Amino acid sequence: MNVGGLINVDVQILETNEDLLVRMRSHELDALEALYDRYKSFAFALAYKIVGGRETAEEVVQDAFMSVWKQAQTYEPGVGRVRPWLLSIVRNRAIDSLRRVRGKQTASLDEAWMVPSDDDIFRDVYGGLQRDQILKALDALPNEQRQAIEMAYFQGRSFTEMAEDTNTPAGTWKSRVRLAVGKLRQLLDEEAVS
Amino acid sequence: MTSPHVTEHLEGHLLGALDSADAARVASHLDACMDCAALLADAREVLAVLPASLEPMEPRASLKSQIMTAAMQAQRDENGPAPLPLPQSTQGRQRPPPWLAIAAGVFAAAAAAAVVWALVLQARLDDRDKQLADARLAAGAFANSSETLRMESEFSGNAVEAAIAMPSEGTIITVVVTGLPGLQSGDGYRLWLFADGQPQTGVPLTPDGQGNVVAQLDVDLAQFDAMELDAQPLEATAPGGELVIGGPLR
Repeated sequence: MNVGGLINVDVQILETNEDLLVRMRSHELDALEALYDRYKSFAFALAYKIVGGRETAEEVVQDAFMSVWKQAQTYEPGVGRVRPWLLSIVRNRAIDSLRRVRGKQTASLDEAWMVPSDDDIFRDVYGGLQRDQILKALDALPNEQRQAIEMAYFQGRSFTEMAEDTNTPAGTWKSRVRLAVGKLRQLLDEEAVS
Repeated sequence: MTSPHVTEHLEGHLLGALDSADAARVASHLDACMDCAALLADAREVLAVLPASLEPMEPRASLKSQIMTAAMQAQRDENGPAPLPLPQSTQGRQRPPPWLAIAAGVFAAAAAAAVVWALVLQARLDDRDKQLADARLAAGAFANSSETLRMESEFSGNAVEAAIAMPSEGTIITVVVTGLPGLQSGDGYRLWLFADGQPQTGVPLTPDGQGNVVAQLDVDLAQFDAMELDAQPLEATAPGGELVIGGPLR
């Protein structure tokens, strides 16, 4: 707002996540601050769910946002959606942390997730769904498929570990995860149009 | 195509649940197969909704300042001792906050958990007792704010900046104004709050020797739609002095 050419009031204007990444590429710290404000509660909830402790979860969140800050320097607009990318980084960092605690010698997940390229697109087609819609879809999964998602996604267990923990073959868990993802897609599509 | 499709492994690949041999085979295949890469992207869309199934949780307020401090440190490590590059203002979006350059300048002395406005005030104020008290006050208010509003103007050749922190709980707002020039004897600054264009209350603000002021006001800001800081004789009881800074509150 300008009053008599003297006052310049600068109010918060909602930028897209992609705009923020572009500005981070130019080392603009307030863009990182805005992205953090936007997703801190989701990122922290995810990290806490996986690692189970506030202190470690905060370390994970800090680590993840620092990764975003550093990788934003090479970000190219149009590569993919920022929200799922950011949360995938949080998940992978959390699981890396969990696996270090478990003493598992597994490769970092970062390579598979963290460098978006034309072949590694993070779309966000279900980004408009509300939490209750997602919970409804998850509740509609058969129990063993929901358990497979819980163990693989939120507990970061490999199929081999799942087999060892449950005396159920790894191939069965692999199939359950595969079926769960397919069924979940169908349920989310139904929620999206409802 | 040089290897069999890996469709049955795609979800496991995304989840990091494959053993190392399968993971390597899938990664190699994906480099060459657009069909499987497309199916991988489809599966990733579905898995991407899972974080949104969780109840959002708030981290400690100080985590934000830790991240900002770490980002500044990373920037310094990359750039060496030179000042941080400040971007040019672009119409249509928020300008970079002025604390950026100042915070970079005092970074070495800043504790890891310091909050941004604490850095600003710490750098600007000479009166260290008052400085630290104001800095702590502002730091706590901005760290726990639900929303902030920033304004900028020019007054008597000074760049004046104001920031308002709205509380996440309660009605106490915190106002920080920097860059206020000294006034002639008998004049003072007064902060006015307006509702429907009419002044409702006026609060005198007294800057320190460096032209900074931190004030906390117990008001329900929802009742007001604009704020102005003016400079006029101390005995004034209505706005109308020389306008210093101001604007809408929402």
